[in-house]
Amino acid sequence: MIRVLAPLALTLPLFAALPTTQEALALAFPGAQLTRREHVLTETQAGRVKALAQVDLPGSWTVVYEARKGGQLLGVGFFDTHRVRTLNETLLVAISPESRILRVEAVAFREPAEYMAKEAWVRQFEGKGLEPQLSLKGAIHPLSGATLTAHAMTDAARRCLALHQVLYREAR
Amino acid sequence: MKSLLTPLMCVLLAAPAFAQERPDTDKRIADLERRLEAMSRELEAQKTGSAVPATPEEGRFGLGASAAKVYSVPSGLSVGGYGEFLYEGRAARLQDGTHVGAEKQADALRMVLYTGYKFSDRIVFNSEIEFEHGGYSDEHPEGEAIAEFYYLDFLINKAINVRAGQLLVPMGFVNEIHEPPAFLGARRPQVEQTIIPSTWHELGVGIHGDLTGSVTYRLYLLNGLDGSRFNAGGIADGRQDGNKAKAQSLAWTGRVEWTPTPGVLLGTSFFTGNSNQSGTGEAITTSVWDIHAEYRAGGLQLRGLYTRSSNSDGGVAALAATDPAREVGTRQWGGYLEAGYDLLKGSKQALIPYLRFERLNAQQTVVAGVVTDQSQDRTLLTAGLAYKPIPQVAVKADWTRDENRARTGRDQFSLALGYTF
Repeated sequence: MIRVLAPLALTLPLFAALPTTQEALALAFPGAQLTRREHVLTETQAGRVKALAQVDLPGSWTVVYEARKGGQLLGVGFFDTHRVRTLNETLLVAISPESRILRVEAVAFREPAEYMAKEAWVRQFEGKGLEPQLSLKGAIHPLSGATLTAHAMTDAARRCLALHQVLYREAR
Repeated sequence: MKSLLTPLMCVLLAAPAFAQERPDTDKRIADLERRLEAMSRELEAQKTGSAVPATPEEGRFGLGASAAKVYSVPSGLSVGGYGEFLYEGRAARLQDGTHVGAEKQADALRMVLYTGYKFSDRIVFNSEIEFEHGGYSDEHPEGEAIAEFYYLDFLINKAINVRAGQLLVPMGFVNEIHEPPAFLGARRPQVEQTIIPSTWHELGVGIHGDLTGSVTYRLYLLNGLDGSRFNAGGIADGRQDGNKAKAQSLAWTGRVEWTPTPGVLLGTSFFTGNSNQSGTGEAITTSVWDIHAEYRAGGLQLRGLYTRSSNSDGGVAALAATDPAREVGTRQWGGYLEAGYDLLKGSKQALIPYLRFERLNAQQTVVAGVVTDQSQDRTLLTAGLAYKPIPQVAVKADWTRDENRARTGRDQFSLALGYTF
């Protein structure tokens, strides 16, 4: 039995292995051309993001990845790094031009693996926009045993949606 | 005329100099842009913990190239913790009206530090060091300083990983996840203190992982309980806590949990093993199992757990007639239902009134010759209020009606302050 299972086990992906930022972008926007853009928010824009998101904004510098296919904008990927408990996680939050979440993907999680949100739970964010229901007391079901992770991810989703609103919809 | 010529001469003389400076300026700007770009990418990589290639525009996904992953979670130390303070006020009268006088107590119940160390992506150390009742000293030997768990995880893949060391027995809700903000009630459910004796930890080795369909599992082989320390109150005193644990007889424990949809959790767990650690005499087979479920949506949280345990009659009956371990229940059972609702929807804070109903009996059956202690057959009703200014901090106040068939129950007021980080 062990002879059969051992080689199989070692060929499967590592438990803690997460996609790189590039892989996460490709998962969110398969086959798309990606353009890296930097934004430095003005004080007014930063204030607006905080007001919309109702969460903290750690800095005014942000990098986004615009995904295009055939010249058409498919969406924008934001990487949000935030503290979970005492250590950080980084999420890719992919957002459609209509300001809806396409996908959330963790690319770095430095807390113990048992605090990490399961894939099915993370999928709750898909299709959500920046509305009051995007909260753990609204449309997002709490995560049993990993409350801080659930709060951190929900806050990150709100922050990225607010950034998208300010940078891509209100800046036009 | 002279006044007009002087500035003109200056302009003419300076023109070549400006013409020469422009390319230099362009070069310097280009150089600064290049440096800024490099620094911005470096900063981005630092923030995200994963480097983005310098030419992402051309980047295409290649899942097969796992060997090229830049999974750069650094090795190193992680620290966390939790703690709780508890004030208890026990009623002056027992259930049958007997006046025993009020009893009030303030307790520095727990102060816990989690430390972990990631040696590599495949080998991780994790631990929980706990000081109970203010810690331990010569003056206060009733306190406790203990390593509740410390183990090494060998991460192989998502489905099968190996864990070895001092392990938490993966039973019930509270034994594994007992940070105060994670459960309702100033005190842990009585069922999860008596029938499932949290916090329960033993030495062992086992496997754990995530299976498809949102199923998680754990399966460990541990040193068994020490049945010679059982008593009428149950199996709790049979825990060996890794303290030169008698490992003559081993035990299996495991847990399976399924999350069919976010917010819903269905699970079961078990423990079974011989608790006779003497190496002679009849086996005392101790088995504990539970089923549990949780539902959380919006501000609502519901929890239910049902558990049964048994100690084989033959083994318990073979103990000496005067041995307190002979009074342990050969069958025990317990269960509780709990509900809470967060009134502060739309706020980061939480104000949760809650209700918990518990039934348990640590001596449902006993061996012949042992008189059942009717006070073990208990019914508890707890009503309270939890306030969380932030998710990591909870203040909980509740009142418990504690009744038993011997009518010696004693109601209690409890006030707790807890935190986790």
